[in-house]
Amino acid sequence: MSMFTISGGFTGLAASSRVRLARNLKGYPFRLTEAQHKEIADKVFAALQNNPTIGPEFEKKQIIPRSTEASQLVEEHLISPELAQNGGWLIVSKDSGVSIMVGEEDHLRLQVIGTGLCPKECLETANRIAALIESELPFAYDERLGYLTACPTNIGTGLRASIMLHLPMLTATGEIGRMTGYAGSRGCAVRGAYGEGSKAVGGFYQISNQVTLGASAAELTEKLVETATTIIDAEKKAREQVRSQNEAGLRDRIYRAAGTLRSAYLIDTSEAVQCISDVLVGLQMDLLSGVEPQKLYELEQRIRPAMLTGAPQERDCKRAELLRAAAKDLILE
Amino acid sequence: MKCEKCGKNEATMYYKETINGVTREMHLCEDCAQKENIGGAFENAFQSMNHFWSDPFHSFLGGGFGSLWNDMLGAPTATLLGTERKCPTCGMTESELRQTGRVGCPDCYNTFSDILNPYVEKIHGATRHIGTAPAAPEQPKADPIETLRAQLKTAVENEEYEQAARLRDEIRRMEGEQK
Ligand SMILES: [Zn+2]
Ligand SMILES: [Zn+2]
Repeated sequence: MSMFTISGGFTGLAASSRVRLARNLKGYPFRLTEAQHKEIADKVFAALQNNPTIGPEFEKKQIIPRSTEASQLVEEHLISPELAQNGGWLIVSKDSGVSIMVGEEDHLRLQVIGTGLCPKECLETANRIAALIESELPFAYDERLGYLTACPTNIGTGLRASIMLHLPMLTATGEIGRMTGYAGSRGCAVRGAYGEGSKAVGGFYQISNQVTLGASAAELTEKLVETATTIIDAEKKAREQVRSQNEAGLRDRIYRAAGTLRSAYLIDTSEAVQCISDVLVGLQMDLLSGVEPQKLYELEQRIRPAMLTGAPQERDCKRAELLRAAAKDLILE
Repeated sequence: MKCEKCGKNEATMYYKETINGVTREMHLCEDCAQKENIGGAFENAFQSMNHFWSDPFHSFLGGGFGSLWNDMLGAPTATLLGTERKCPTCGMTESELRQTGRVGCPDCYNTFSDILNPYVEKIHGATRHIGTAPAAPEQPKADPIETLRAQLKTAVENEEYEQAARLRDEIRRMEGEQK
């Protein structure tokens, strides 16, 4: 395990967690020139290098606009599409757990990603890195409004904490609408994670805090975790309900998905995500075994179009190959 | 009713949400709702990567204050050339701010506080930051015994003898610890 690898496991149907802090350096306008981006990236990198334990973990990369590397970094969720489009800098830990974008809408977008349900741990790490930078480079801060950002929607804590939830049964039963309403009443937004067409493919959703001002980052994160936990419990209940109503139908669907992953020769992203989703349900409900759910979930990233090279059919072929390898040990219970 | 975003099409989507007791309502046409990704996570199509990075409402609120905010805040006061307000630090004008929904520099929050404060309150349902602040330089700590002596003096003056006795004991105890 490396320094910033945060792992909460695929517990409670939460696949991954992410925390982002928006920060701007004092004494600069929000919109910077290319030279200023470099200057800031250099200063931030130097500030990290001053810490003998943390410094060596980080490397600095220039993002060349619209390059292949940039689009891969987007699919690895390390940089935003905007940064890939406009260029800038990325300061990233060797294990990719911590990344700092320079040149986004705000000078710094500090992000920590972990697996499973771990936004609190991610926040702790983010706070630690932010404090380390801040001790050398003062941030734009106002007594009343907190950390100042280019867009007023991010002001105060600058925090966006989110959890990737896997909620296929709430989706199937339509109960997800009620859950979204509930999350909204708690100041959290729920959105489909992989949309192609008009539905959340595979039942993957991202839940995140909506406001950034008026509560501390820790409180906002706590509330997010509580809300996500309630939704997770509802999904578990829905799964058991489906099992008690139509276990044969449930098994059929899950085993067919397992079969597809094990033997498909060509598979597109959308079908792959759907099959991964069904197999995950099978693993979590003890109808399948032999494969780590987290492993399978991580495959989702590696099968996305920009991560595979070649013509569409070649990609479908490579994708199927990856999935066959990952699913070969699946056992029907 | 016309769409509040584009002002052109008929609004067919109604969006309402309450966060921290503040209710936001928007009437949008289908196109704008789709574009701004409002009206339910599930009906709208988007790519995972955009999703991962886009903030809830960010594009909507950040994409210019639009008619909704202009209605709420009143039209820009002086858009006539030359008379318009400008941030002295970065040069951003009031109309640029209203158009883009982004401020130019930290000082803009001061320059345009009359526009931004109600806007911030509308978005967040709050007006004050809570939590992490830049580390303050170390303050020299007040001598706890001196503080207690001052409290003792006040207690005696106010004839609160029980309180005074308690404070005297506490001072003796602390003086004893120091030796
Ligand atoms: Zn419209
Ligand atoms: Zn300014």
